[in-house]
Amino acid sequence: MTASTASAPAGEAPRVGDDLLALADRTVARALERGADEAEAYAESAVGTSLRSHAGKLEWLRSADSAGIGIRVVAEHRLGYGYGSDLSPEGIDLLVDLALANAAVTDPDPLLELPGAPSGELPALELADPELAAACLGDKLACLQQAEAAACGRSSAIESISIAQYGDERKQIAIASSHGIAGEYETTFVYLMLEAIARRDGEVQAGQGFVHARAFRELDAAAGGDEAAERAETQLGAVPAPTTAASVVLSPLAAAQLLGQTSRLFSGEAALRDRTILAPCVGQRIAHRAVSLLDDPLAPAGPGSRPFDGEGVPSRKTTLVEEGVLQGFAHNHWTGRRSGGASTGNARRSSYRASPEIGFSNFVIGGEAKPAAELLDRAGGGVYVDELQGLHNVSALTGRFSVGFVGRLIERGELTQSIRDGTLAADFPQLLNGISAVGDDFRFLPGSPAVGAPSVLVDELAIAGG
Amino acid sequence: MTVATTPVAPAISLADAISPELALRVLARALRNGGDFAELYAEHRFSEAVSAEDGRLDRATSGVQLGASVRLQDGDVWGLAFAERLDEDSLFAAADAARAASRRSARPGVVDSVSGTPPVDPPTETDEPREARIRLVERGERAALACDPRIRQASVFLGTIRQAILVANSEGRYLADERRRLRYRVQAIARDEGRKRVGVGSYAPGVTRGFDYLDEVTPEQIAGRAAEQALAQLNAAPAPAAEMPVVLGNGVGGILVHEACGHGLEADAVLKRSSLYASRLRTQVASPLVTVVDDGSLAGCWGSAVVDDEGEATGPTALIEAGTLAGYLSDRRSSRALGIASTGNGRRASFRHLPFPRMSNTYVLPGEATPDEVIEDTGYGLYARSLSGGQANPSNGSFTFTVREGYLIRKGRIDRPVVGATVAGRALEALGRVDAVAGDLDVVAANCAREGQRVFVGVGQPTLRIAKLVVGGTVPLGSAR
Repeated sequence: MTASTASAPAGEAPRVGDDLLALADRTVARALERGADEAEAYAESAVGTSLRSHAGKLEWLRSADSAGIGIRVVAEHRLGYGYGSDLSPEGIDLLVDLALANAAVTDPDPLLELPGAPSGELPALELADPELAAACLGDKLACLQQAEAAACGRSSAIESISIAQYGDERKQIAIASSHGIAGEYETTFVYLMLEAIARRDGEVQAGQGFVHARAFRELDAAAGGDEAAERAETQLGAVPAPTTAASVVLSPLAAAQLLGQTSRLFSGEAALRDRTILAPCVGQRIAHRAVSLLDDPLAPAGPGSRPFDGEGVPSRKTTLVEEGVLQGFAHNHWTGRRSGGASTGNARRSSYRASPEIGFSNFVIGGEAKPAAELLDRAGGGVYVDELQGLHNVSALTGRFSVGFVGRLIERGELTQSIRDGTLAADFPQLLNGISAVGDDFRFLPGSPAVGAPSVLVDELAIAGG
Repeated sequence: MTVATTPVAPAISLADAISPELALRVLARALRNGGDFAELYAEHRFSEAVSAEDGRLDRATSGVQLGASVRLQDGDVWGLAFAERLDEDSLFAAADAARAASRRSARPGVVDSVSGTPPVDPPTETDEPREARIRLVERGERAALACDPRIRQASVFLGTIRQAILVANSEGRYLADERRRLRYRVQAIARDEGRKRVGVGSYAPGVTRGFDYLDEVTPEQIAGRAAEQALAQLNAAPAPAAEMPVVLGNGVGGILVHEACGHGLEADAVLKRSSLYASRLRTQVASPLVTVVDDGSLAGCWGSAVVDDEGEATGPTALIEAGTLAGYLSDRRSSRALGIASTGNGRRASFRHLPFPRMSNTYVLPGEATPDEVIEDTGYGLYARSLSGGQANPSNGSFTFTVREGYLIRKGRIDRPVVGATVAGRALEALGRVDAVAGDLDVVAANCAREGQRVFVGVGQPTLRIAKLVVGGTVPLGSAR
């Protein structure tokens, strides 16, 4: 036991602030003792609150204080994984044994190994708000009241607030391995979600607003309320979308929503396994020159920023598409090796419960930004997509997708009539090729992965309405 | 490497870990400064999964989650906090943290005793060992590849969850339950000779029962269904974009009722009046051919359990009877606010979460027609045999679903497969336009995420037809015909 946990009262699991890295180290040592050739432990702890108010009154409050560990072992070139929340010595031993038992049944792979220790320093990132712990329940409720007031004050059409929810989390992550990996970092995340109900002439529409920040004092509660009210009100009087092929401008939200469903197209594992249509396209133009796609784990404002990836490889920017040309794929250590290259630092774990897969931190659309209004001007007439609905993965094998949306008509460069129940069907490469301009209204959307996009102009897409 | 025995997470008895006396002390602690209701919910979850892709069994994972939450009601305010250990100190700490939102209440909290159904016995070890699971996965993969030479790749996943729960509350409840779930998924990828076209099929039954399920529905049958879906796409045409009659296939077609209608019948949405069904009780909300039921007590279904996550017995709840809105789905909190009895739909993703009213197995009851008659009676339309992901807005009932496997219907016959279709519309309109319901009810597994909580549900329906629905494809109808 390390000093910090040994001094804790008996029976208490480690908490944020305790030495998670030492726990990970101990776990690796235990796995080697019990028969692993290589071992890696990924430990995570999180404290947070979430609360919801209704009509200005607190409805519920949830306090979370949670920790767990995931153990990856290699034994005779076979991989096994075990995870759990019991961090007592007996609990860890059980997880080690489960991981080893799993490694006994998987197929061997001579190229399998855990990544080695990085040669340089890990990037220094400030990802935690030291003041978050000082925010009290009253402060958080005040945020919600501010958001509700902003929503209700925006329009007389806003009848009520159906959901007003606040959440925050302080998370600590540590990783250690038998190959010398050792790292830890802390992040904080604060969000507010509001759903406003607008009513006019018997018609009811709901609109959601969502704002997030790393630091409590940076959370723009009023903006969340404004957004909810605006989206609810905009949908009042919406008519069914037309069935047509038209110029389409995706809002920053819609573009980010769509981008978030395309990760697998750029996955090094999917490329190795012939499961992405982009596999044979490295070096080729797959998108309009206006488009760049990259993963930026070092972005200061990125919700997914981190100093190292899910297997401890130092973070760096990975450019997937530059000025329309596919540069390569996102790799973890194993797919990098299998492809004859190296990891791009794209091993991703959604939590300690998941072994590292390929994924992104902050997956963003870049490119030369034009004023957002210019995109509407260029479109002239067409359809503005506010928000996608019925999201699902864009098939990496076919590139096809088909999603619902709500939005507005674009007429002579202006947003006019609201439209509903539209569907947008295309294949993703066709969409990438059709993007002829990206706006200057870039916005991050948290999630897995976090994504970021400005509004984008797509020259022609098929739209179906009712 | 030497592993003497195959380890499994010990099948711990939550009733041994949390005796009625300990439960009582924790509840009393939560209520010591007053309050209306306190509850202790403990859970032990052992998850195992193996998967194979491209002839290699390359993933095997196991996980153990153990903990308990304390939930406290003080007037209109609810608090929840949890511990990831079951000792008295940890549970007391959770009881104290659950009070964070409460004032010192004027209402004295009272808890006298807890008792109830004898806890379930710790299960005997009847799980399939890892080696047997591996063989089951290999069978599915082999079968998919053997279906047709055009099936070039396959992947198979087999996962099990053994979940034990214990609920004790200040009204004297003390009971335990155990749920064993199994999911088996095959994905098959078909390519034609020139590799010009690709088809992807996926079939993933899930049940609340043991491995005997795979004797009834074999890995070979599951693989066959996935392969069939993949092959159909090889000669598929782009879907039309137009309004037309849509025949929704049995089983997974029920996701439409789940999303577009079911979420609006969850009582918390009704209470907030954010559901379009909020003021429509006993009014016509669907065609008279439509009767919808939610039933968590269906034997073996993915969304089934003997009791819900508040310890309330599950059972059938009529939601829509012959087109008329008949009821809502409730948990403890929402049922009291509505002045009705809980329907046993209080569910939570884990001990770390607050329960909400959630669907269990929700399905449309069978009608009189045969599936063939429904198709034969359709001049031109879309047969959406299988749907995948979708979304609906419960405030206005708008929905969009992706058609995973679709065919055009021409002159009453199933014609060419189509790809890239979505169906979209509004719940009231769409369910009002149901003009044929067949007798082939099937309930299938799905995972339902709401407000960050994922629960297992069954969705189901017989083959049914919606007289007019927006089909979103890439080809305007004129050129598709």
